[in-house]
Amino acid sequence: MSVANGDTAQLGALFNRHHTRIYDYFFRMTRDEFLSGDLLQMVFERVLKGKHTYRESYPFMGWIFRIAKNILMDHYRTNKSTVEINEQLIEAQDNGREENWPQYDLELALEQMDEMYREVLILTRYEELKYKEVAEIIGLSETGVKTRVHRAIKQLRENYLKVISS
Amino acid sequence: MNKEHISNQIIRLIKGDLSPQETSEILSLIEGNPEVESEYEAYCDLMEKLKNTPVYNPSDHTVVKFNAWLQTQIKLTENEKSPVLIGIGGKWWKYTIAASIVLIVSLFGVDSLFMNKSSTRQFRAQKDTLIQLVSTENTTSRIKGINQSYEMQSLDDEVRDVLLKILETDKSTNVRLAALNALSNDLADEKVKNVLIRILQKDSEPIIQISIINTLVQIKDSRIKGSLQELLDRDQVPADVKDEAFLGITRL
Repeated sequence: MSVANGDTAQLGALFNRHHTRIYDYFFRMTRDEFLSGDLLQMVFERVLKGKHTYRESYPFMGWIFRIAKNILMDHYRTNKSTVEINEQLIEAQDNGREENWPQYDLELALEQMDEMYREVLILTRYEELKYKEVAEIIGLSETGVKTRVHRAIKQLRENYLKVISS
Repeated sequence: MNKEHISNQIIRLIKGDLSPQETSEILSLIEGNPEVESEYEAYCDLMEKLKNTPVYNPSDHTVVKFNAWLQTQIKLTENEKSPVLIGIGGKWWKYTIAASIVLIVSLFGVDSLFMNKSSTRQFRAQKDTLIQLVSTENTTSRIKGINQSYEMQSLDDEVRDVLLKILETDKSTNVRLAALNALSNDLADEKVKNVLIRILQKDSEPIIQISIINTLVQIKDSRIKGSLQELLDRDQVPADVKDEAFLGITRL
């Protein structure tokens, strides 16, 4: 990898290729546009700082998402809180705008999930990472990830039913 | 099969985790039982919705901020790569003397002999191109003009003033950021430093303020601390800028 070999300019190419998926992960986890932007920036700062720790034999997406996950955990630790109910969603509900937001019910159901379940769904379904990669990122076995995804789908379904019936 | 088990088998079917025999069992149950069929369709519908959720993109501000930071990092890396005299054993002083002689000769001898009008003409031409391009209405051309300054071996007062004026007054944030990047090579110049501090205090564009803070913090001049503190003390300064100013102070 060029960045690991000292070509800092190539970090721009890495950013262009991967920033949307990493930002999407942060936004879905935090529901905070500005915070997600800051966390995204921190990922690439850490990539540059830790470029020597990257091994070509290791899947790059797994490596960068592991950095993203650690940054998110650091953020939670520092702020001593996890995700709060998304103000954007509440505002949309208050203004009756959910009709113009086709995925509103699903987003709200996702919002109400336990964080560990939401995370595996985001990583496997949205960011399309393999179970093996997710296992590396969150520190579980591959079987553990499969089980967690299973429970996550179940919880999402329960939440979704509650949301649409309320 | 109880309801709980059926539900689990449906999820495993969707995930593709079932053996051929299990698949066939659950499929026949789906076909033969309207309630199970409806449960299965509901899961499929949910997974389809999940798949079709739009991807969230960061704001332009985030991307611009990253690019400004990257430019600073590239410059820092380039500076780190500058040649350094390292490990040449006990004879280092001989090499140092030899290098000094070569340097003196090149500064006062060879340069004065071979420095001819062509390099002056080249500099003049580059400067003219720069001034002409930055005067156009087209944003891309103005950025091209600013980038011309990287071709110049050093900036003279006139070019510095042009870049400072762009940084202070241009209507495009991207052009202003390009000017700031070009000027960040000239931070040893007191005038550049002072104007940057002045713009930092009076500007209302957070991305410009944040980029100036990052640029000034790189030179580790403790005088900047006071300027950053002023930003922290002012009520109308945006929170993002204050955060950056605070981080800047801790890095100085």
